[in-house]
Amino acid sequence: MNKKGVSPVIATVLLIGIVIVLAATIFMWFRGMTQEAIIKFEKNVELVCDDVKFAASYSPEGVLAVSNDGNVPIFQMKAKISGDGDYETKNLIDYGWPDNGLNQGGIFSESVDFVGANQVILSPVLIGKTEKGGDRTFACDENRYGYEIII
Amino acid sequence: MKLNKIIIKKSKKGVSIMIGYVLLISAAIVMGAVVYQWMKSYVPKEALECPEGVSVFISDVRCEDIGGNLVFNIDLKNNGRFNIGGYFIRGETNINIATDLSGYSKEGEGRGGSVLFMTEMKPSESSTYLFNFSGSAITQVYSIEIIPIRFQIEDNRRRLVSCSNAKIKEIVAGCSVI
Repeated sequence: MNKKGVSPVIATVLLIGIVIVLAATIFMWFRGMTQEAIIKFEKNVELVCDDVKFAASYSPEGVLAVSNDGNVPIFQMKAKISGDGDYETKNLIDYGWPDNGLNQGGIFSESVDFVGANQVILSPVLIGKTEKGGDRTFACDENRYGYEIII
Repeated sequence: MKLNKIIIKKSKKGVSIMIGYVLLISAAIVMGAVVYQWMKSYVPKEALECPEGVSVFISDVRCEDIGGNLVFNIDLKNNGRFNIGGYFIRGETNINIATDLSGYSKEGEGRGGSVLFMTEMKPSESSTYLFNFSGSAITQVYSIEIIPIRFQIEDNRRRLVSCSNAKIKEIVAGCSVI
């Protein structure tokens, strides 16, 4: 009598239950580790970075000009300013970048002081919607989408 | 001994083959649905782009000094295979290295940085556009850059599309007022 144990049906139900609970736990844990998807134009904003097209130039007088040649509005622009052995990152919003971003065909042209810099890498920042519906910005990878200006 | 054998045989029964299949397939479907839901935003979709054959050509730029004000005319020709709805125009001027010139033309006034045509410019058509800088600080234009614009239907919506692949730049010599 004592050797009977659990019936095969109960054992199967228990097994499946444990597997489902474990899978759900691991999924929730893994999801917390990964970044929440930001959607723009019905696709992940990381893919939209591929569609961004802009040109930039820096005049000897210290005027930085950026033109949005593509069809993706550029919400903000990050500038990685490299000098002698170090670098700092600035956001062009501090230099008069439009609050609503640079739309199709738009131009940004302002005096920006890159003192001591010998290289500036501009990388676009886009804005999209999270799955919860809020707005969130996403900085495109400067190594893949950065625009290099040699000063 | 006989009793033991019977007990061992009984415990080998497990889940039936049919239930095994049902469980396996359901698990696969559920896993597939979860992964798809999670990764669906990474499925590439076609970007908003102009067709390859869009092209414009600046056939002439004429600068004039009218009463001390700079005025210039651009002869633009559609030498591509598609209609064009307008263009973005920028210039390198004496006031800035990149100036939006669209607001200085009749077709671009109040259009938010673009020159839009009343009717689309068809292939082989050409037209002249006048830019009047009277009342502005622009006294010299060194170069102009034009990006054609098209209107395309995407997802049942009429969308403005910038044709950056067809961008052209023209150096303008002697376009100034003293």
